[in-house]
Amino acid sequence: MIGKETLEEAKQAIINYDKEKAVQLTEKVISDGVDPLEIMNNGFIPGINEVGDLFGRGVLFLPELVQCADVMKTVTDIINNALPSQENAEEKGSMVIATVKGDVHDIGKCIVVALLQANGYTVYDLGRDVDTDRIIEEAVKVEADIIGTSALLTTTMTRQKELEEALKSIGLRDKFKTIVGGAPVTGRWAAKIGADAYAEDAQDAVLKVKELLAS
Amino acid sequence: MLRNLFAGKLQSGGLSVNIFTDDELEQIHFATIEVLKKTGLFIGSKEAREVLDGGGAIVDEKTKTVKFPPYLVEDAIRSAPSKVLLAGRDPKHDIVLESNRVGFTNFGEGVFVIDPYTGERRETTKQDVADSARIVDYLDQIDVYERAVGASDVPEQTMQLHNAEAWLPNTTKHGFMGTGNGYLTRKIFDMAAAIVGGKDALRERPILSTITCPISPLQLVDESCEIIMESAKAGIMVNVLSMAMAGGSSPVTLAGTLVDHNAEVLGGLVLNQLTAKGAPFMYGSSTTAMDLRFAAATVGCPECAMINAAVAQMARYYLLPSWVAGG
Repeated sequence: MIGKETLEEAKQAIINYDKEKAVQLTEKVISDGVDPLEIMNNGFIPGINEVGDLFGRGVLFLPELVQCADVMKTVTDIINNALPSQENAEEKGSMVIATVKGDVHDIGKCIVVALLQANGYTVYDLGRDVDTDRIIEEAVKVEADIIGTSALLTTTMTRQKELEEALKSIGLRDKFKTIVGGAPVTGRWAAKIGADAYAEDAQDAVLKVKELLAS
Repeated sequence: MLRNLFAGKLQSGGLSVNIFTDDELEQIHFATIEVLKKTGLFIGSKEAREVLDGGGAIVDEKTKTVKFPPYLVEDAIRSAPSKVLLAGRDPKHDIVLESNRVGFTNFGEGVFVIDPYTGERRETTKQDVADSARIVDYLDQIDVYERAVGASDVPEQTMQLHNAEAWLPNTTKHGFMGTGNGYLTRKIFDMAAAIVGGKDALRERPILSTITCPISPLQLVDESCEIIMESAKAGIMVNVLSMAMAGGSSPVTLAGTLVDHNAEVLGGLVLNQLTAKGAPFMYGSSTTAMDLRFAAATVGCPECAMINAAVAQMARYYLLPSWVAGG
């Protein structure tokens, strides 16, 4: 059993992006022989949830969000390595994400990846300018739950429609949930092309991914 | 009492914001030279890399990175014209760009419009492109037209051709537009040439200019390179317009952002001048600060205005026409 104070410290270490502190607390828990999942579920995860909330409210800014996500990733890696292999932090869900073919803009996508990983999702980031076929190939290979695509240009947005149609034509549409994002993308576009969800920003992506996996 | 004539007099007029002293401008310039020499730019087009290699740049085919020896950059700055004529289909709309003469344009490129008749917020269509050109044509305060919106109701692979078809007949003012890629650019130049009476006539009196945007930090993708080269070959001015976002795609300091922006534009200039020495070139900017609360590009914030003033001064330093973003 980890003390309330320690759990609070863990939570704050994420919110204050204090990597040193977070790592120190994690290592102590592990060396004390206590189940590290406890500090994850009752300390760090409430921390990253609050970070997302604070960012959504405009209290935390992007550089802080990225740093908090980075701390979260560090402790997550330490904890996963410390667990016996079959007991890995419960797989929340996995997603393949890419910026579509012809498009090299990826700042937004990278923030989405960082935040999703910080929230415990497994994310396969294929990068940018990625062929629709390759996106599907990878999703099949890793048995992803969700396929996410990002497009910044009105001229490349249509690749998101192409993905939906490709999935349908090879009979794999039901195998994945799809989510779209990017500056010119809207909920209406998502509905028009038949995507399962639209996320306006990284925090919205986390919420939508959670919903998609629950459905 | 006699008040005789002055024997020669320097005059002042107008108002300007001088963000830099000459020494400070020089610092930005030298920082840029260093970045272009040591880090270089990502150049996506193989043909562009060949042109740059032929001109003396150092090309790494594996990483598609090109490094620029300082003399290359300085030669290009010198050979690009300081005075450019932008012609209108009707000569009364001709405009000369030189020194610090100021002109105004509408901005682009919107993807949504509030329908002027129904009030509905909807995606823009080819008809909207035509209508926007007509409105700008009418307004005296606007000197040149920039493609204001895009046609979302046409196939994406030929969208720029449809856009050109929509605006060219609807204004007699000079127009700027993004021309998509090399192939589409050549087609659009054919369209313009058909209007003015041939390719030579178009070179004499160019009724349009192209726009292309580097991707910060330090990247010129395939299509951008193609547009820069095709424009040079046809004698049409290309506006290489960077949109670095301080804190997002470039350093958070304004000076650092300016260096990144400058490197991208000057890299484009070298490619342009090596393709056709003396081709008209415009130094463009939509560079601004990123809103770090919402990860949004904010064109209209105070930093954008400061950067605009800085860009205008840098362009003057290089004796190039310039274009900066408004709100």
